[in-house]
Amino acid sequence: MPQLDFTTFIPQLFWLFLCLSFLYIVLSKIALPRISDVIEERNDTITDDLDEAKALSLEAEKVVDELKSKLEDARSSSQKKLMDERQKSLDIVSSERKKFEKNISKEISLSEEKINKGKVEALKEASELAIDIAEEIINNLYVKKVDKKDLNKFSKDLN
Amino acid sequence: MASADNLDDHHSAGSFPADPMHQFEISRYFELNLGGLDISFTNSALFMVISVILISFFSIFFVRKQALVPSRMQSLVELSYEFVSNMVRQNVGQEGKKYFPFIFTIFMFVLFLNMLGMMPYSFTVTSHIAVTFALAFLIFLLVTIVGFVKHGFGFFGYFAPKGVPVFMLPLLVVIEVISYFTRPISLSVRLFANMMAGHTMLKVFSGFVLSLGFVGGWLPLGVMVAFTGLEILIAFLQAYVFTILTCIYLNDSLHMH
Repeated sequence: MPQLDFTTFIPQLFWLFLCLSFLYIVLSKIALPRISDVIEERNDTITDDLDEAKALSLEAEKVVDELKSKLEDARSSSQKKLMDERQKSLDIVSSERKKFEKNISKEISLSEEKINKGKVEALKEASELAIDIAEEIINNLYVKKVDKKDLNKFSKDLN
Repeated sequence: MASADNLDDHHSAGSFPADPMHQFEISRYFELNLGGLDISFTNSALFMVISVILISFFSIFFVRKQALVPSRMQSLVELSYEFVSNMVRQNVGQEGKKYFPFIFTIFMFVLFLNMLGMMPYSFTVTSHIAVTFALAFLIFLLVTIVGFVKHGFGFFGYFAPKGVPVFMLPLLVVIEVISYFTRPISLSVRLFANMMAGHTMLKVFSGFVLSLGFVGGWLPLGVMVAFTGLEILIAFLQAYVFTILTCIYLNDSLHMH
């Protein structure tokens, strides 16, 4: 078994001691501080970035909220405007209609008056005509002259 | 490489196509001597140096500061960092932060040595008890020192847990002391035995593939492929276990029981 060859122990141990000391010095003085710096720096960067991202997302949320409230305002104002316009147009329509109705009723009463007047005149003319006709007829029928005054009285009685 | 020559020697010796233990042999590339101390550059040293270079390279040159989204390699490095850092935080707590570089070094070193060992023609440094025991003993020593620095002589109280009947204490203290001092042994043997057993097994099956030839070699080859996957898992798992036990020992020293 070569492991039990004692003559090889001293050179092995010497080089082990040399290598281990060298490696320890290199690692503890140069390599490990650098590695830990790098890792720490990276962790710092990552936490910084995360913080920044959080702040940005908060800001974005705020903006979204603002936008939402603005949208809500705009919606309600437009609703209000719409209602106002509708009311206005309804008012216009109803006032126009009232005007129209007033005009129409005036026209109607005017024409009714005209008609009534015409009717009365026509009736008067008709009765006068009837009297004239009756006078002619009676004058032609009777030998005796009929007084117009009597006929007028007669027609009045008829009526 | 010297190992290739040795492989041929074994073929000609010929009882078994490849000696499964041959892969663990230490071969010296350069003979070096420091004041009577043999510090030859061996294959073991080579792979330790390779792993140190790889780890340094990965953890320094693949990490770019300005990268908000890391590259694949950088994520891998950061993943290892977070992995070990979580392990320390969960097992040791805030006080463990000070020891994080050490634990990270241990984890990466063992992990890379284990993983490099999975490459064909490579050498598995952690399959040597000398290395794993040295690592475990270093951890044991460090953890004990941390305990004494934090608690002073009060650290001896670790061996006498509170709320235990007095007549049980002698027995319990003995058990605690033994379990404390066997820690480096269990820690090192676990890693070493796992790595050695896995690699030996792979070699044995590869020997079967060679000796059974084109006709019968397919079954052991299939087993070998499956086993290689398992070995990669074990390579990671043992590095993890080694590190988490280090964390647990450290926690015991810092917070007592």
